[in-house]
Amino acid sequence: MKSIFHPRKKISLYLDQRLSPEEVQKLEEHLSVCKSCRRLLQNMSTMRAVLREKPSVSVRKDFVSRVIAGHRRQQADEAFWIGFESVPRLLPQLAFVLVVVLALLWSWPQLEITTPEAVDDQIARVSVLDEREMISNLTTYDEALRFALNGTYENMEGDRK
Amino acid sequence: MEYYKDEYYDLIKASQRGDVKAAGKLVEAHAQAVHDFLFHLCGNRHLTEDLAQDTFLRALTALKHYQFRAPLRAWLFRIAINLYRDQRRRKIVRNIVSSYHDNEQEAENIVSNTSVQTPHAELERKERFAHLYKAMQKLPESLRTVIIMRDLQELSYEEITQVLHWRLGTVKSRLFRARKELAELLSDFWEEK
Repeated sequence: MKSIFHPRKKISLYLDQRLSPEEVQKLEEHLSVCKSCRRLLQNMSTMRAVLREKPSVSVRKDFVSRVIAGHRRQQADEAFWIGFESVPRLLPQLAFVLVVVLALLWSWPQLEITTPEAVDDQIARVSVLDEREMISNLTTYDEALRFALNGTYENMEGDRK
Repeated sequence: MEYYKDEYYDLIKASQRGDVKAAGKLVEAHAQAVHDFLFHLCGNRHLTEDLAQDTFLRALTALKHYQFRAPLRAWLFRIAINLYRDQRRRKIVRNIVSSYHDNEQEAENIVSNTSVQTPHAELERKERFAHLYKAMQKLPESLRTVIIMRDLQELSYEEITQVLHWRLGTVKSRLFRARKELAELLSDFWEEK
């Protein structure tokens, strides 16, 4: 038995009048003998009619004023940011300045030594270190004993003289 | 390059120059179409209102870039679809839809807002639309979008290609699939009548 070709895709185009006159004629001939295609056309057509009854969602009465108010707010926000448009172009310079500032902050403890108090503190620390070095250089028992009795390096030096 | 003379050309031009009154008139002229479009797309009244407002806010901000390549209505639908997809991506829609409403009841509410007919005809129309609405929600998003654009909003095939960035062949085949699937979903109901 020979199978019949059903040009179903054309039914949709037929509804929208997107077929050539020849195609329309052929399709209508087919529809006159094909019950299933006729039913599809009928259902598609009914469905479209129902959709085109345009049941609609009610729009709130204040919808337009709300949108316009929102739009004005957006415009105000945009106007605020206009002054900052050049920020991206200045980024390299800003980065350089930031690096310089960070370098200065990092070196601050070393600079602190230049204050008078810091200098005194440093001298005191150095003299303590010198004394300890001298003790470690004492080589004889006598020297060590005399240092222990006299208490200071200066006295011992004086004895030596 | 401008090559589409929109019926709201003057209002659009005025709005592009910053005329807020003209912008208000544009919103007023398209509010209903955008609401209908979004409602049939997402099926939720509250979400429709939020998305419609966002659509117009985004449109007014971007209006200076509108180049008359498609009707303003189609351009608004494009924005609405993008916003709807963003929402879906954030899974907000899924949460709201799953907990919010009964589709059939929603459909009846909408129909009750439309013109008054004889009680019997009105009842029949409500019933017909409720079935259609439920069936529409079963379609994949792409098919639902194309059928809303063509059969509800009556955009031409060419306008749909511009809005959805599909080729003409894709529009034709998806529209056919959408109608065929809807017809199959509704055939039992309509053939009883």
